[in-house]
Order: sequence, then structure tokens, then C-alpha cells
Amino acid sequence: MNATILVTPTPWFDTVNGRGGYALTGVPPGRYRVSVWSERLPVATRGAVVRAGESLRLDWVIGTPSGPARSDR
Amino acid sequence: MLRSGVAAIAVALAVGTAGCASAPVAPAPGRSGVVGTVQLVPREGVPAVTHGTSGAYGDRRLRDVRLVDYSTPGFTVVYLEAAQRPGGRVELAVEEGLSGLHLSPRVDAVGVGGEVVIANHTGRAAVVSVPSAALVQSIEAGAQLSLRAGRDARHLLPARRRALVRVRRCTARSTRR
Repeated sequence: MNATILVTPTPWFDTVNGRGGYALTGVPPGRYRVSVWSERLPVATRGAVVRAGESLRLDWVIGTPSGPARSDR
Repeated sequence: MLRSGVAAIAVALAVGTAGCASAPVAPAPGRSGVVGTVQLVPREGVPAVTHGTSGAYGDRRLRDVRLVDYSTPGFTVVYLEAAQRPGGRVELAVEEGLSGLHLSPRVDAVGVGGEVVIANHTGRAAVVSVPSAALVQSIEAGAQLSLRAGRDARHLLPARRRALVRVRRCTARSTRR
């Protein structure tokens, strides 16, 4: 039996729910890198600018549509 | 697995530890956030697995291999990382104006571990005082002084109560040192 603990570099994270939704709240305005870590796929990252009082919408479609199958998972 | 400051640690028999990653983030009123959805896309040619299937290949040689159900995100975490790397470099210039010596720019910042360079652009030696580094040093004309920004000097300026870097005209006594 094993478990995975993901240590994130900042306190702003959320676990994606069963419907794929997530919400990061209480984020100070600024420039960030937003990353998606999945136990099944490589990390996906993109830049984002969070503005004061606004809720930034970021939808992700990630996967490996081609190429060799991963063997390290 | 280590990726850009994120560590995933596999531990044996860690009951309840996965819950650490799903701890709710307390919302702060009046602040902004990021919301959205995550959809996983299966590899081309891989049949979709739904909840109604057994989740395993039919081949007994692959009895321990489980099919991945891409219809659900599984354990997936979205997280933020500050875009600006710590450290960096900031340069202050000692200049001489009508009101005497001054530092330019007057406001700047550098990350922890970054380099702070104070360059003397005047035609004479100048003494700089850096209280946070317990340093008072003369900089010859055209020369520069380099410091490493410690944790307590993350924000070098602005100086709200006192200037963290001060400069004054070099006296004859200090010049001879």
C-alpha cells in the first residue's frame, strides 16, 4: 500500500473534484504559474495574472493524445 | 518525482495522508482567485473506460494492470507557483545632484539571495551605510559595492521608517582609510 503526498510550493491549491472542477480562493493579485498535477499524466503549466477582486477562469484539457505509453506511473 | 519545486513523496502505509493534499483553502474575503475545470484526454486508440467496466484487461498476463478511467480526473491537484523567481539583481547608483548625493532608483526590490550592487557614479569617493548588513563602506569614484540580499533585506527599499541604504558625502577622513 502506498500513498502520494503532493507538496505544493504555495498554499494555494485545490484537489479537482469528481466533476473536474476546482477553485483556488484567497489568492493575492500577481503573476503566477498555474500547474495541474495528476497521478496519471505529466504536469501541465501555464502562466496567469490574477487581478484584485477578479476570479480568473482557467479550463484545462490535458493528456497524451499520441506517443509512447508512460511506464513510470 | 521532482518537478519545479514540487515533490511527490510515496510512503508506505500512510493512512489518511492523502487527505493532506485535499485540505481546504480558507477563502479570504475580498481577494481574487482561480477557478476552472480539468479534463483528461486518453491516448489515441485507447478505448474509454467507464465506471461500468471491470477496469482491467482481459488478458491474464496483464491481470495486475488496471485500465485508467479518463472520464474522471482521479487525484489531480491544481496549484499556484509564484512566477517570479527569488533572487535576481538590482543596481543602485550613487549620483550627485543639486541637493547633494542621492541613490537612484529610490525604490526597488530584490528576492532573497539576490545581488544588490551599489555603484558610485560620482567623481569622488562616497560612503554608503547599509544598516541591515551592518556595513559602512567607502566606494571610490567609478567603483561599485556588491551585497547579497539576506532574508531580512528582501525589500531593500522603500524606506518607511529609515533608509536601509544611506549615502553621504565622503569626508576627507574616511577617504584616507
